[in-house]
Amino acid sequence: MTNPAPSDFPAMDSVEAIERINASVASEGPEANDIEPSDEAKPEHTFDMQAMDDRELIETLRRIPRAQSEKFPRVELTGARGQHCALMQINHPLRVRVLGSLGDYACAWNDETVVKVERNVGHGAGEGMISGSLRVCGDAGLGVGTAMTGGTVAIYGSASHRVGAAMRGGGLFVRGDVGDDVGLGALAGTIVIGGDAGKNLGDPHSNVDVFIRGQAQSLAHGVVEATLWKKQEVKLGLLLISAGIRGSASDFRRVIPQAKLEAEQHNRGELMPNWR
Amino acid sequence: MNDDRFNELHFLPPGVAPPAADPDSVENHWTVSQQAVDSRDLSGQGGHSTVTLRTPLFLDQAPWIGMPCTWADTVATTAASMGITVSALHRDLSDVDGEADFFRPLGDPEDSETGDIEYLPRILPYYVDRFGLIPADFVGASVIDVRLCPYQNHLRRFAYSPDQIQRWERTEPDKPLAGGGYVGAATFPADIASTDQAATKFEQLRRLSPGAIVMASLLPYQLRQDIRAIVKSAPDGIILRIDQPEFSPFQVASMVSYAKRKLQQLGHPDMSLWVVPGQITPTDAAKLIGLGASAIAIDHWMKPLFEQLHRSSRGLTPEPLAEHHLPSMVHRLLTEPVEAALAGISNLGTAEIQGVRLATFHPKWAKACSAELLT
Repeated sequence: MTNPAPSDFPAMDSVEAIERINASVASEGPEANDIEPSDEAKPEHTFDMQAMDDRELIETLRRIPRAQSEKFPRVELTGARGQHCALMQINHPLRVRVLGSLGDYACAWNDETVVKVERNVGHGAGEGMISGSLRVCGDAGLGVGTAMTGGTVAIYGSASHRVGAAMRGGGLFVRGDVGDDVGLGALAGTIVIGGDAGKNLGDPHSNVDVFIRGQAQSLAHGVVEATLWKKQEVKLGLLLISAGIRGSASDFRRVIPQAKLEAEQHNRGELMPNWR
Repeated sequence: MNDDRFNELHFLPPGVAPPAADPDSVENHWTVSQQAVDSRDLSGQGGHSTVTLRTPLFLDQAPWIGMPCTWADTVATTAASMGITVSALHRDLSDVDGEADFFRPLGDPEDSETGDIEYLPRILPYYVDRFGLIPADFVGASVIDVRLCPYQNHLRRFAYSPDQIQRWERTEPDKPLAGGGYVGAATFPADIASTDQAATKFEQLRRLSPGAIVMASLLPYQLRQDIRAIVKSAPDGIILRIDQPEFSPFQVASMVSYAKRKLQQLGHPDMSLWVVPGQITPTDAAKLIGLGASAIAIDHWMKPLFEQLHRSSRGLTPEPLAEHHLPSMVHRLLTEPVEAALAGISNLGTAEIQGVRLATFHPKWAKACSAELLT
């Protein structure tokens, strides 16, 4: 498996970088199936995505009995070659590992299910996620985690524009770089950016906690950078560990609406949510 | 007083044989077909999904937030029972997910011989921001209204009110999202790269709600620049939102006519064209159908009731509202205009039957609306 390291992508200051992500998301060849299973635990179920259509696959997954213990049944999916709209609304406690890439709107509106995609995902992956998680070892297209309300989306490569747009809860982590308009129209939740960001980062009307380690090309109007409160450092540190992202929370800065920061300074501490 | 907005357009009697004027036959005309998509996606349905509407009338964007949930649920259920396709989210009509009558299956699903579960005719408003949307909204929807344009509230503001966010997101009054203020509406879905790429989004929604047709909502400003790309993305229909008060009746009529001609030019003469025209009368509704619309929003007819309900919910009326009277209030308000509109529509011609035609004495109207010019 080849995961582009964050440094492989330049700061998102050019269309070229975004095109590179989109191209890498879109280009799936026969080698997608050639991925060697890693040292993860052996799956209890294996299905070939080429051998059944998506509806059949979802129904098959939902029929897997729930585990008696806290450990979810493990499922491995082969034949993933960038199929669009795959693995939506599984809504069943499973741990699914996808050997390959998925296309647009992968794992949308999922609840409970834990999915790991070994390569890339297309646009709108993890849309409307309610709980569970989606971990992507490669890159993601536009609008990853759009309108999610809970759970965790973690992208270990880079992501294109509008990450976490209109999100209403949950946590979104990108180890690499992100494009423009991150957190556009988002209401709540946490967005963590391990690399650099493009233009217009943040939203002045948002309660989202945006943390960034690299540089943003520009911040949205009415949004400023600020240092973390100690409590936030602890919280972020735990989130980084749970998302499998290395690094110290103290390397990050938060991106916050200026009005919220002023209200914080006025109140000398963190605020109640009705800061407006 | 005549409130008709399209007075310049006249109904002419049919040229040869009179049309079948049986109003009941109208109910069988309004079938919107979902175009065949990847047959794998709709296996078991023959690659073709059909939604039959009892009337070509729909309630587009009722101000549900300004009234208690139980009232909103009763109004939506009553209107839908009358054959009006009603647009609402679960969280518009209920404080607790799954409790609103409007979303319940009709009859006992166990009794269904075919296994198909029927629901009241419903539009799922798939807003750009998807605030308030929950997975249960996809169940039993007749139509998915994919907004490719920003949300505009009943005050014409491109924003969501704090009350709206609170009801949709179920937040505590003292712990609001987004700081407790108005939230600006986004202009285009964040997860669609462009109108050219919308096909995958439409496919996604067909899979999430296999029994529904998927329609793309447009503002008139998008009509000329985007309609080609949107039609190429193969929605099952277009919803044209021309209810902005600044549009004159002539502009409204000509835009409907233009959209219909454009669909024909693009090789989709049968693609549904639903219209949100703002203030209209039943006669206007029939004329818009005559101009090529497939269904018409009737929000304006419900306005007096909604104003009364809003006043009552704030305690501004002399008597509190008796909730059990709501169904009869809806019936009283809608029966006459709906019947008048259906009667007018039933006289229009179809491909098979020659009916009344639209004509005008004004060359400008004749040209813009492809209506017969009377001299």
